[in-house]
Amino acid sequence: MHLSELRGRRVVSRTSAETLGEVSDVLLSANPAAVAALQIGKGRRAGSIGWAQISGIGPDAVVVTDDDAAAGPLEGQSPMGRLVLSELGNAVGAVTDVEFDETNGMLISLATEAALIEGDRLLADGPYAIVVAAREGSEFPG
Amino acid sequence: MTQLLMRATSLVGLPVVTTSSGEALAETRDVIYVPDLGRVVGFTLNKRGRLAGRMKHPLAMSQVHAVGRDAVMISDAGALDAGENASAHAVVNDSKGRNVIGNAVLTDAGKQLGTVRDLIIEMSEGEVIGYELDGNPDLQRAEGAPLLLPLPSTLAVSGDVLMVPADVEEFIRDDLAGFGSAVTGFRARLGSG
Repeated sequence: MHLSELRGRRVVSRTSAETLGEVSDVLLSANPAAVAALQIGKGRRAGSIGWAQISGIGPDAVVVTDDDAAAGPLEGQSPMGRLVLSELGNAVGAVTDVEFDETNGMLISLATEAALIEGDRLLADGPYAIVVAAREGSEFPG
Repeated sequence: MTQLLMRATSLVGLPVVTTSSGEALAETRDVIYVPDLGRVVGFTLNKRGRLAGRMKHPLAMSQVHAVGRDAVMISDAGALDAGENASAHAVVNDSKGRNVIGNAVLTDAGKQLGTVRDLIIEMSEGEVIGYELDGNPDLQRAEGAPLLLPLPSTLAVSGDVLMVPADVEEFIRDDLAGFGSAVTGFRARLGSG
């Protein structure tokens, strides 16, 4: 599942069947590289849903366990548009899309204009940059 | 791994980023070069942001994970601890007045090739393999072309003069791309002579 496909998909509570909002973004975590949360809505009304509160991600909706699943605003930053640095200190571009396994949240890849980076290379998602591991023979184009 | 050659001036102002947390903790202020060793032993640092000022402790090359085109990578904030960088700190305190930028380069045949404008550094080892000179126009192939001078692994350095073998002249290059092999060729010559 790509974030670009998931954006705008409605989020529905399993307990009340109420629509809580639409997916607007994801939040990543490293070790292991995964989607930690989905963001719904934007601006001051934004909320976030931890991966554990997701009941299922289907073609038409994201179903969450209950109405309270959408906690406060997303803590951390969206990966979209962020600088990706290889651990060798070379920029790999800005993130244009995020692909993850919708059954378990594991990160499959990060796309930038210049490269597609395997998800298991994610070392850190920090305030300055997303840092990815260098791999023998595949240092990114500059 | 391919050899990454960089000019010392291009290493100034790079963010110092942790691989463990993706944070930029400082930025490079200057490289710490020890001419006698022919080596960059670390960086002095500035704080980042609007209150940027010089940081008290430098970053030793031994604490650096990698130096790239866009950042100096360290494993975590601990790499900036004073204790880990004491050796580089000692060099900084000891090396006042040993800045080679602006020094004259003189061959052992008595010809001045120019003055040092920049250092060419092989980044995996931090070894300074050459100097870029503001030089003698006779040595330039084209007006305004850079003069890249390969260095022997060691050379004599005083406060204002760098002494190099006269043989070096034919290994002067004007592009960084072909410079690595010129250095290898020059050093092979010195070794066989």
